[in-house]
Amino acid sequence: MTRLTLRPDKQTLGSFCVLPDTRFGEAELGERTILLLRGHPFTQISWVINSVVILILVLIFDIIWGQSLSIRAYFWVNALAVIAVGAYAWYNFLLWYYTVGFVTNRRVIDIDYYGVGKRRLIQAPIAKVADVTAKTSGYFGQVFDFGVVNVQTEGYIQNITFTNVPNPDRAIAIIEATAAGEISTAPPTP
Amino acid sequence: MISVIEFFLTVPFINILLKLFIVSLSVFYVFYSILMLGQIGSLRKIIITDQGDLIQFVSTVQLVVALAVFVISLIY
Repeated sequence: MTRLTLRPDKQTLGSFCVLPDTRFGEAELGERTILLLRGHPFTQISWVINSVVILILVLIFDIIWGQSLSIRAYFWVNALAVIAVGAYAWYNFLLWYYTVGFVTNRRVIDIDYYGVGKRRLIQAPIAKVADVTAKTSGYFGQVFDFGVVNVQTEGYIQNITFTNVPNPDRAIAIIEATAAGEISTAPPTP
Repeated sequence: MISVIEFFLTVPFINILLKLFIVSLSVFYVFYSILMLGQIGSLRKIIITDQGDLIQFVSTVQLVVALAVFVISLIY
């Protein structure tokens, strides 16, 4: 097998980062993050559209009925709408940002952040990776190149699934090369 | 439609109900912001990233806004 040479690289709005600065908090001594995966930004489009549409509706409400409302009612309608949309957008951004997959030179780690008070962390030693498969399905998955990467492990260690990650084929190549110890690093391109 | 709403706003009972609704909503928002801030504090220890400080700052701003809304809802 030929060695895979990697350079620090950040693609698709930080959802596919090779040799990133971001690292797992409980990393062991000498452990280095090879790959960081998040959901493809396209999969987040629904909450972005929802937020924008609600803000536009509030704006339309202001234009049509704003002048007939008292200042107090006008203030509360706008304040509550903006706060609700802001909280909704920020919450969804955090769900996306903190649901990550790490591939290090020692482990494969999947951190799923489900929201307030709920998160899940699964990890498996990289040496126990038996097989890596990817599935790209759906129209948008084909167009924007994102899909599910499934890391199967030996024995009783739980399999790890990264959902909606960009460049699934490249992710497979990097995970397999890391598991085989066939990774070498190069300085970033200027 | 708006004149109907304005009419209802002049009814004392509905006015009190609306005020209670806004105050309870702002209290919920304060608790939610505190919870989010706590969550981010713990997540930052697991996922160490350059943007951690910025995210914590935005969540702190959210908490400040929540407290401001709560105070305004009591007096306005």
